[in-house]
Amino acid sequence: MRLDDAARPPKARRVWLGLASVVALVAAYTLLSNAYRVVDPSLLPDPLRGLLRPQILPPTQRIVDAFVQLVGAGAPLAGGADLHPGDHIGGLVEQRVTLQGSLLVSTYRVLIGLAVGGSLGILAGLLMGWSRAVDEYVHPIYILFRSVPPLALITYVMLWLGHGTAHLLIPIIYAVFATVVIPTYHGVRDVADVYVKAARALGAGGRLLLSRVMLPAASPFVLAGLRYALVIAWMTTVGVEMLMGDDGVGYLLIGGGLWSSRLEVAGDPAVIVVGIVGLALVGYAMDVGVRVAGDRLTQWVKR
Amino acid sequence: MPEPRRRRLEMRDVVHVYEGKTATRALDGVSLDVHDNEFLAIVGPVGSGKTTLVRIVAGFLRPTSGVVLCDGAPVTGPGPERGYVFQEEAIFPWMSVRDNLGFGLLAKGVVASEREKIVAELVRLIGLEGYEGAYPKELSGGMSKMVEVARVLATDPAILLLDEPFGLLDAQTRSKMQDQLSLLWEEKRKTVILVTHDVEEAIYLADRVVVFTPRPGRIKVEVTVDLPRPRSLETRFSPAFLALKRSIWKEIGRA
Ligand SMILES: Nc1ncnc2c1ncn2[C@@H]1O[C@H](COP(=O)(O)OP(=O)(O)OP(=O)(O)O)[C@@H](O)[C@H]1O
Ligand SMILES: [Mg+2]
Repeated sequence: MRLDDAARPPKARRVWLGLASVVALVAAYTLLSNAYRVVDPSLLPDPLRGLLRPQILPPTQRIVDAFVQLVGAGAPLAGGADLHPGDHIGGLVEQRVTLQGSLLVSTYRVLIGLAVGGSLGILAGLLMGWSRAVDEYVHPIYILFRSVPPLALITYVMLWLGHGTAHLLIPIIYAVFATVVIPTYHGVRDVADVYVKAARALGAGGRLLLSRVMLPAASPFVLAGLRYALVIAWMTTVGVEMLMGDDGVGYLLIGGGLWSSRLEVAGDPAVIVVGIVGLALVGYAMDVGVRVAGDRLTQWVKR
Repeated sequence: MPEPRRRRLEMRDVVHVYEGKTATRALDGVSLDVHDNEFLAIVGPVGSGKTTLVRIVAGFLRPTSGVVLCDGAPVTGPGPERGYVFQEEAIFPWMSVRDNLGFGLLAKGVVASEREKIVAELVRLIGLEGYEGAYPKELSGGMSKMVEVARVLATDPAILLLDEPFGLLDAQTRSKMQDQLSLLWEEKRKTVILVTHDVEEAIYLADRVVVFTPRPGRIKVEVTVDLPRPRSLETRFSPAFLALKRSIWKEIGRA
């Protein structure tokens, strides 16, 4: 309960306000993106001249078209439909890359990253926070490795394991792992101390201490870490897919193709916007999921 | 009736220096015996090393020099035979009252049915029926302190170390808790070390009161409290009680 709870508008009104602001945003964008039809952009002053072009701000109706095409791309092709396999959307449709399919694959990668990297990171954080010896040995190595951007690993992973879909998961797992360790560590070391002492005085040790005392004591911090790791996981996933993937949103954004020839396809802004909006929506939903689950798990926290 | 006085805890020349930016000499040669089933109270000014001594006895801190023996064996770490109630709040906020009370039993490997029985008994003892499923955040400060004391009692430790357990309570709850502790001690007969700032509380509960000097902590004086038990509100106003109070205050005042 927060003090300002009473001052907040009721829920129904909040939803309406939220919707209204989205509608306003879409309307404003539609006007702006269609402005080039009315005014010749080359007459405009400099930053506007560059921006108000359909190549940069695709008109809303083009985005909707791209959306419909990408959602329907899985269906068998209608014969004679005007398809240009050379351009961004044409290539995708030809390969039957759908928006929902791409989002699903990426979401799956993010979830695997969170599950595997999250558990390993929590475990490492717990051990480092628990044992001074582990902390002293592992911490410098951890700091050293943490500074390596996850995407920097991808070429090495490829050299090492070859080109495979499963290998894309390694940088994602690593990114989540590195993000979760530190909050867990601080939760255990800085917050749990008095509880750990109390538990030990009550005769607890080993697994009971770890699972029933340290982990719950650190859990508000772990959850904050996971929420942040979710963002990092998405960044890494899309990056990895752009560089090496054969599917996923990153692949969709970059227009498919073999990774060596990727940059030869000119990006279609409408596809990119569709992909970005899809990412934003899925990211939002997942954040709500983590937050709601987290609030349930930490009902006990005084707020 | 003088029982055979077995020494339960022996502290010999305990010195403790906290290393750090400014080395603090918290304890400066404390020697103290606590007998079996004795109720000992320690009073002393802020920062006189009371918590430090209790932490050493609990096994969380190693003395810089000197030894602490529990039943003749040197203390090397915390143990379930020495129940410790912290000065700061230490009940687990993520566990219900029930799970908090049962935690020591769980650690000991007591089976669930037996655990439930003991927990139900403790809940009754501290008068928290109906709050078994509540989280600590739903309890008042006094209630959670009671849970904390009861949690330590669950495993029936032979020795109780209580570091200002009632420090944060209002006068009324405080006196209620004191009565409960007094009853409990008479019923279960444990060895107790109680740290407190409250001279009256010390006299009311203890068999013996030890007064610490200001830092570095040393024992200034020991006062035996031979008031009859069970003690009650009347005890607090008896001439003997007041005389003890006067003499302890005199000792404290004489810096
Ligand atoms: N962890 C620590 N590190 C450094 N110095 C400490 C630490 N804990 C206590 N001290 C110092 O040791 C001295 C004794 O502290 P202690 O907590 O034992 O006092 P106390 O008698 O329990 O006081 P109070 O009545 O306020 O609880 C104090 O001067 C304090 O500053
Ligand atoms: Mg203290």
